[in-house]
Amino acid sequence: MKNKVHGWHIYLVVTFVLLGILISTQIHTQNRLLSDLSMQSTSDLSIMLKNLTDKRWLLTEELEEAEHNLLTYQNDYNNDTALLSSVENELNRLQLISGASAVKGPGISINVDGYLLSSDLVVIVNELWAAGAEAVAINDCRITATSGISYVETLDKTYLTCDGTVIQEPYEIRAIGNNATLEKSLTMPGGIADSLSLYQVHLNITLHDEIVLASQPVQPQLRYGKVPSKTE
Amino acid sequence: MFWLIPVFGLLIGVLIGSIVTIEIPLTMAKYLSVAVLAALDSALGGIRCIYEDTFNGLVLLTGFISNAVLAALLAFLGDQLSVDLYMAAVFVFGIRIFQNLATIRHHILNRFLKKHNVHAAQHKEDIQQQ
Repeated sequence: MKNKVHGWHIYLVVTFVLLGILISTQIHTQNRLLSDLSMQSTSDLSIMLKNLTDKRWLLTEELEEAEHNLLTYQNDYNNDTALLSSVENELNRLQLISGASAVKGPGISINVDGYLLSSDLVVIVNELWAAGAEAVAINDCRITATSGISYVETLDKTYLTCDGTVIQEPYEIRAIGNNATLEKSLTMPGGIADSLSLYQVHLNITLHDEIVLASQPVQPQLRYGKVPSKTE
Repeated sequence: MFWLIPVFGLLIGVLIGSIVTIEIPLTMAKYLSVAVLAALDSALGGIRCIYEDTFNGLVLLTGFISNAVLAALLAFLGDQLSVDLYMAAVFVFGIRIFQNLATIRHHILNRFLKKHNVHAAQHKEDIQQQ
């Protein structure tokens, strides 16, 4: 084995380096080929297609279910919102009735000029309620379901009280409701205004488009009363 | 230890090919495989020639490149003519590779046997002399 050609190693090395490059390129290409879709056999492709179609149907069903759920939740949410707003309306109504919140609206104010008995005050308030007043207050005392109008006597003077608190003169009664109706209920012939005028008590009534009544911050604590269940 | 040279060269080539990934269009993959086959045949032929003392580096290198390119071209042409020349190339180069390998094996075996026989003969003579 003589080396007739000088530098045969170099030729051999170059040849085999090229061969190595070719082989590794071929392996690389073959790997790409195996993972390439266009080079797959028809049966493989049809199996792949079937699998993918199945998967697609599953996903479609899932999507439909999710959309259905979404719709249900949205309906629930809307129902909840409606419920919530109706509850809120009811709460506002009850707060206005109970005096837990301040109230504003059209109404009248009555300035009493003269000496007033507590029974006169009760009659005025009752007349206002009867005329459809939605809220009534004497000075700062809001008349609620548990309000009581009375009087206390000292040695020299009698004070009117509302809920046990002395009402200072001058008295101002304010009511919210249809202001014309409220006024008529007091000033009708033979009404309370007429009666009081016999005793030199004059009611100066002013009609307001908007009048504000303060809230009754102290609400009664209920310890005994309970709401009976609907079935009872 | 001359057989280290092709092994070493092959390793370097594979390394280069791995590092510098040459992107060949996938439609050319078929022709590349024929080219690899032709190149392998040429390389093995080169090794055979070393044993037969007819080695010529230039012949090897030109044969290597031209065989690879021609094989690929032939396969391509076959595809264009819808004749499976690709199969012919695989067949021919496959046979040649096996022939080359067989020849190389023969040479190696002969060399080994020659050495061994010489040793064995000497050993025999030694025994007889004793």
